[in-house]
Amino acid sequence: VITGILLSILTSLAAAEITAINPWCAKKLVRWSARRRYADNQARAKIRAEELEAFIDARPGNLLKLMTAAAFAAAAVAGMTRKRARRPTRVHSGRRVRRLGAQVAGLASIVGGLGFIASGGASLANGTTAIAQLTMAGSDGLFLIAVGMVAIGKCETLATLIAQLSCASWSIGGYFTWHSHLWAPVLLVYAVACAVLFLFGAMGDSGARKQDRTQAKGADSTSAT
Amino acid sequence: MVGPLRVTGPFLDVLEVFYQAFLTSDQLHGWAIVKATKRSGPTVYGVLDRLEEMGWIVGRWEQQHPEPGKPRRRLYSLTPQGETASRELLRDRRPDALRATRDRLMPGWQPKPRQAGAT
Repeated sequence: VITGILLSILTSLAAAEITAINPWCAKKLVRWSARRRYADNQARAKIRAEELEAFIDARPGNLLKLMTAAAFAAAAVAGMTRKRARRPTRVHSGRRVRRLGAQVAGLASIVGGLGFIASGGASLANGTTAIAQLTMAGSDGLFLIAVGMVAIGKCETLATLIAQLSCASWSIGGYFTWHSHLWAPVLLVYAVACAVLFLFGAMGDSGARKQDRTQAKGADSTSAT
Repeated sequence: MVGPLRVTGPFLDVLEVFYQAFLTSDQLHGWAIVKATKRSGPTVYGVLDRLEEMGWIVGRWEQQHPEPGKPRRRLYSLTPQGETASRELLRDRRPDALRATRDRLMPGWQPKPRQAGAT
């Protein structure tokens, strides 16, 4: 009964809090929409951002304010998509795939690194590991995080490869070590995801190399003529 | 950049509201236009963008919101070019609405005969 009462109090408090921050969210959203919609005209973007804020303010009800802001955001996104569709594609799809692969692998590596550190800490708290092992888990985790950050920030092929391989290896190792554990299937899924990422990155690399060759050939023929 | 004139339902609705405001010497803000046209905010602002680019309307910030503590609004009104163009367009596309507005706001008004060769 006490838990029920506490839960209902907490839920109503959370609902009140969410309702209170709705206008703030709406204003932020509408400002973002104006910046996106008028990305090619900064002066107008500034005017519209202030104007739409006043527009949202005139709307009655907190929820309605948020819904109106969402409508403006949806219109801005639709406008951006239309503009992008009209613009000729400059980046080869292979490069985009490679960049995406690097970013996802980097993110996975960072998550893996954090998981390493967290699991080391949890084991120490349970008294099942020594400080030395925790230090190892910590350094491995930090290494994974560093590699992930390089892969995301620079799209470095080597960092991406290390991120993918290290994630795959520790998740496969983890699966065989804790195969009876509840979260062992998660590790297996993670290992498969890493393998897919590896293929994804390789595919992007080959596409990018093909594009480089085509561009080099085009440059040669232009200079020859 | 101003493209070719694309006349849509919302475009005419907004023009109608602007023309009414012109006859009563009022200036309109975005929320008032949305309420009067019963169109969505993004639709109305899309039309306002086009009208501003064509030079049919002009906007200015109000000094201060009538209610204290509220953000200032941007007020729009027809330019002389916009007034002529919108009257012409409404006369062609929505003659009944134009007549009703004039009868309501300017009783006794008689239209000038069109000049030969005028579009």
